[in-house]
Amino acid sequence: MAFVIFPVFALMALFDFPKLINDKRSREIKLLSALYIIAFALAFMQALGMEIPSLIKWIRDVILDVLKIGYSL
Amino acid sequence: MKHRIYRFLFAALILALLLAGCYDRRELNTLGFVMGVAIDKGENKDEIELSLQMAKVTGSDQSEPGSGSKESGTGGDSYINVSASGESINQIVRDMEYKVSRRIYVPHNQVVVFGEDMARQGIRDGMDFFARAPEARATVYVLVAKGKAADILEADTVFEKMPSSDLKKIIDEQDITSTVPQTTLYDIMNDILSRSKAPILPYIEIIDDKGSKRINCLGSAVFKNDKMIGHMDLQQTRGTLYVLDKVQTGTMTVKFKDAAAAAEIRQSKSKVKLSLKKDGGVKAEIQVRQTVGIGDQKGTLNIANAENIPVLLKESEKTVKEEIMAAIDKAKELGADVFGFGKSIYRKYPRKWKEIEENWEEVFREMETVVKVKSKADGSGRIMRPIAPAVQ
Amino acid sequence: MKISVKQAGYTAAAFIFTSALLTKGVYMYLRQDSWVAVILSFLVSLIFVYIYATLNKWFPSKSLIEINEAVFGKIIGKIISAGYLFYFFTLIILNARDISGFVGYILPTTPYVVIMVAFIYTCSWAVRKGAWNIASYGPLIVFVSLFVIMLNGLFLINDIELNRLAPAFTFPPIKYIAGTHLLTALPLCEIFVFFMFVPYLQKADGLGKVLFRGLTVGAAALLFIVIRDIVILGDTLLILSQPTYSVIRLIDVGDILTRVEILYAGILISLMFIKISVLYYATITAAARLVKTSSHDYLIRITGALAVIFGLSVFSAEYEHMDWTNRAAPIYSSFFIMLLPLLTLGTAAIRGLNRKNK
Repeated sequence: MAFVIFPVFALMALFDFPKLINDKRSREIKLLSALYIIAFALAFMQALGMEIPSLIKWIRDVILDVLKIGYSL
Repeated sequence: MKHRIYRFLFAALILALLLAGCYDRRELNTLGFVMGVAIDKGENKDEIELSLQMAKVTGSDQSEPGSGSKESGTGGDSYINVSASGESINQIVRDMEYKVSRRIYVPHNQVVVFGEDMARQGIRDGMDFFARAPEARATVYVLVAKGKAADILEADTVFEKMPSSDLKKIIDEQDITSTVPQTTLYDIMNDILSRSKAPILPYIEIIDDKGSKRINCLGSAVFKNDKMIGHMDLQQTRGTLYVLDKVQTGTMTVKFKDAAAAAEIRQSKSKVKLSLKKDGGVKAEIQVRQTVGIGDQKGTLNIANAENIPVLLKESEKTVKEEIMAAIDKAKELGADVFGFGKSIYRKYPRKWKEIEENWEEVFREMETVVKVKSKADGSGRIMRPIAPAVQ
Repeated sequence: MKISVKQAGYTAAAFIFTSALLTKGVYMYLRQDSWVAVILSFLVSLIFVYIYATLNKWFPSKSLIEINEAVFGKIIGKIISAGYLFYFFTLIILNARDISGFVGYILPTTPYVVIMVAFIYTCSWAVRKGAWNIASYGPLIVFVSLFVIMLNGLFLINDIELNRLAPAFTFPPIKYIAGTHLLTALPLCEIFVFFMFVPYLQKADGLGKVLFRGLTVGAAALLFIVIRDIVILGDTLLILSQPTYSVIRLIDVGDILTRVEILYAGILISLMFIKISVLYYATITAAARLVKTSSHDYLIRITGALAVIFGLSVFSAEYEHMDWTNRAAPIYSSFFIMLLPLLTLGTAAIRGLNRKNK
């Protein structure tokens, strides 16, 4: 199941990058490439079953454990 | 632009594949429609015996109502009863799939019947499945059977294709007698969660009516939390329903000098007024206002005239008052607040409720109740006097 | 094309409707007095809408990112804007998780991936079309939803017991404050997100009107729904996991009109579509403006992918969801939509930026 990730991302990149390369917008290309790599890595890890860090859990830990300002009556 | 069309087609394709595919699709002919459920105490300790009545939906509708080719006594042409035992309903249902060729499908379920043994032990565990499962409905009727609930599912059908449909419609029709409560799962949940109101469920049994097994209503089963502690007969149940303002129509016999009449309740409305007594007790004033007409009468005395109607009304008021007092006495004897007085006290006097909540049963037993009934006259039907020549 | 005040206003109302239909933690503090919290939080939200409107008036037609830069300077402004970007993104994944949870409740074996991909994909389509297209759906969906909500209320008239609202005002005051805080931070003030739509409004300083209309319509609907839930469900409010959905399931008019909850599900999905599309759009424009690129289209697909990826891993169990919603979410939200805007307003005032720019 994990190799579904490859064609999906390839397809997305196929749609996104040509226009940017044609217009020679290096900023966007750099930003988008970075994001693509991160997303691809995370998606692959997820497809393989590894749990990726959940943003909300981080925030929750910060709010409740570090700052201790969560409440519940 | 061409590009747009391709993109559009691509999106349409993806969405069609994802959305129409629907993992959870189930074809009609793979479903076993559960129409009635019976829950009894199992043979072993902590076990539940579950019986499901499922509709046999065949392509061609050949079965007539009640045509039972009783193959091994578990069903007729249009339904089949399957039983199994286990520790929890969820597990039993899944285990039943070893025997049943269709996916057991609960959403169309109409009735859940608890055997009296099970009811006395507690219905909470049985209800948990039906409250929790996203498929189940909270509007099912829940009843208690004298004896084994599974027997109810074996009754001979009358008008419908299967006993559970019969049962559901019997309860539906009870607004004509107003002597049996029409309790749904949702009502029970609300009552148990209120911590003070005692739920009442219809109490039924199977009787032998000239050789066939018929369902008969006995009144109501009274619960404390989720355990059955007693029952009320038909008149006491109606008394309770009066207080709950759930009486719609009904009949009562009224005796007269040398005639008797069946007084028909056309409409009924009741109000309960609560007040706190100086000595700390609670007083409830129950006011019933109803419209009464003549259903039929015996004898030649014309009841439907200005002289006799007031007597009729007075007698009907007396009868209703007796029914209500009987209900209150029985409820006090059982210590069950079937009238919801506790809830009303919480709503009107929240601070007082906090004080008496712990001892509510005692406070309830010692409550003072005053019953006032007022009847109004309604028409006498199509004839104005009994079928007898006028008295000269 | 520019969005009119009315369109944006109703889209904002649709935002609140979505949260109104998914009420859950709302009832835990105040039970039968929850309607009091709705009214109180409406009043409190008016204050915040005033703050947002004032900020908008001082910086007409500037979106949130530009305002931050103008008020706090380049570096701090960028940091704060990055914070907002993070906040919007987390809102996307939380809402995506909500709708997946709802659909998953009805269709238990469908894997969340399928629901999320289908949903986010549809939203990305709307985002590609642009802000005006998203906002133009607002009024339509709001009116249909209102109609359905009223209709459902009508069908349930028989089950209403008004005295379930009693006794009123018996809880300790701290609970009212907590309940109001919860309602203000979560459903009502999320319309703050519309700050990202400011550059596309017809009236450059019309955000106040937009938010006011959205808040009023939304809060009215929320009040109606809360009262309806209390009056019909009574004590079962506390144990049901989806109170509003369960109320709809009780509809049984003459044995014929049953299973009406499919209407409710349809409405919810349409509303959620708008909400996520708006959040999606806000995230993308915020990101694009942050790095100062002229267009934002290229970010659509990747944001969608990231939304699905993170949306799937948000909570591993339902109790985590409840824990987040009840304990941490109000604080998290309040920081971004109450504290920061207040800070922004204060700083702008101190720096004297409220004089209209030439």
